[in-house]
Amino acid sequence: MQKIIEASNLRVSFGKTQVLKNVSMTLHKDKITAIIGPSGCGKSTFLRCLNRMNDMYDNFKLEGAISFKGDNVYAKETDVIEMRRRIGMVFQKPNPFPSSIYENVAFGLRIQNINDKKILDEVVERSLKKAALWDEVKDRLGNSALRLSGGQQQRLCIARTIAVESEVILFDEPCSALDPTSTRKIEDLILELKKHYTIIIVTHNMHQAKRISDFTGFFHLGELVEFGETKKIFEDAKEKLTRDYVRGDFG
Amino acid sequence: MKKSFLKKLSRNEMNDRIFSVVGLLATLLGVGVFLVLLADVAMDGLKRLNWSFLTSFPSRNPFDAGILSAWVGTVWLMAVTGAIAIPLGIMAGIYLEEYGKRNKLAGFIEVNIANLAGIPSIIYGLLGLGLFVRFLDLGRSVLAGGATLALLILPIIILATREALRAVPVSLREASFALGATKWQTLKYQILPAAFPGILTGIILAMSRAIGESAPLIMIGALAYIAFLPQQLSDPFTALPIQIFNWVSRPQHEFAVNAAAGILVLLFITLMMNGLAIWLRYRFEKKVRW
Repeated sequence: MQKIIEASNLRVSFGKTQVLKNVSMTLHKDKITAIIGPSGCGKSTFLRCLNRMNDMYDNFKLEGAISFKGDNVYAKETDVIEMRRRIGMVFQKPNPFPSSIYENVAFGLRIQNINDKKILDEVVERSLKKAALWDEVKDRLGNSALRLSGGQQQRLCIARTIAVESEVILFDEPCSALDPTSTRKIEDLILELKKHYTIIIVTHNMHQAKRISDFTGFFHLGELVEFGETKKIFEDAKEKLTRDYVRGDFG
Repeated sequence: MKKSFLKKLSRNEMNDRIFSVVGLLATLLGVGVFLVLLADVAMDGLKRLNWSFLTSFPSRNPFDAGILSAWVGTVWLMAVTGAIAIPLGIMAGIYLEEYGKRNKLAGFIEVNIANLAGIPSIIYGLLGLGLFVRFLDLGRSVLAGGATLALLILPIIILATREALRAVPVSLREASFALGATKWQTLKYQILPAAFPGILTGIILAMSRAIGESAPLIMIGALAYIAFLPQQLSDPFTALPIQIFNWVSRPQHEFAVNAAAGILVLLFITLMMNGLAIWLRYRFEKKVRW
């Protein structure tokens, strides 16, 4: 097992509110890591630290370090743009661009000045196929992405990330706005993507974490209470707090 | 129990009805006053409105007088005002909203811009007189007039741009950033197109305000009687509101009729601008929707 991202002694605050207290975690390549915990425990904040999505808030402050393949993500000389391309993200609410299905997938390439129609066509098709969306949309690539269903939009967002050849995909509660059928499709897709991508998924749904992840981290009040193999966390956790949470005693 | 339940419901329904009636009356009052004014002006002015009225220079004889120099002057003014205020306003709005740091200075600037939008226009006229006409020695020219009106509407455009940018969902920014787009790419390809209808509405509202202003123009010394058309930016000018004001203040009834006709032309231009804004906004909103 190869480690790909390593967070050490992460302390994060927004203004005077401390959100993460001394979190250290190692994420493995081509595995699915689930992050669970009650609302407000800092799990989304942690995820968003990994590709520096919190940078857009003025009062965001981070101490400690995150390394991606050995490079410090928060170093001054880090190319944030290139880093974000390699660590992609899928959000809670599907957020396609208000343009066509085709342009949604092509956007990530266009901003790298790749405008060759042949290359774009190829990447769009390959990405949509990988995201299990191709068959549903191949006849209407020019249609507005906003007319797709919620589940289709979310798969389009995944295709968009695949198109720029991300190595890691961060999922921030990707199914919380979807119905059970769509959720199922996304879960199957995530399991399929595991072959080539490292996946980190924040979820409220403990069954989801149990079903799809290899590793699980349990956050509580800004601390990583326990981290380990999913089976271990759900069946034989060391900490009482973890046992109570996965049993559904609080949350 | 059941009785009191019914009673409460009907009282709420009553409030509902009262509110909708009051709201309707308020709306009708606004629209009604406008329609009465329009009808009054139209009755006076329509009979004077003809081709020679639009193509004649002002004259001592009310039947020969026309508004050629006035409406051409207004078109010149709007072009100069727009050319100065639109790019400056949009750029300032983008800077303040997207790039400026949130600190005390930013807060200070923000409060001041909001205040500037509410300052009486005659004060801008004084500023224009001191700054453009005297200090920069532009004289009573189209350029000085346009620059003065540009100052007047600049805060409106800045505020509208900021509002429009702020109304774009955060999720759109996040989507773009997460794919490795730079801030400028995100702005250019996602945020600005999405904010464009809002910015456009702000611009047209601002221009509609500028087109009706007479006080600042009188302040910088725009003339009412001009028997030639401005050929360049340094030429003197007149504008529709000034011509109308001039005619209204004459004792002869015939000039009042001319003023009414002039008002109709001004209203027509303003309505056309608003119509254009609505049409453009509709076209862009059809493309951008979430």
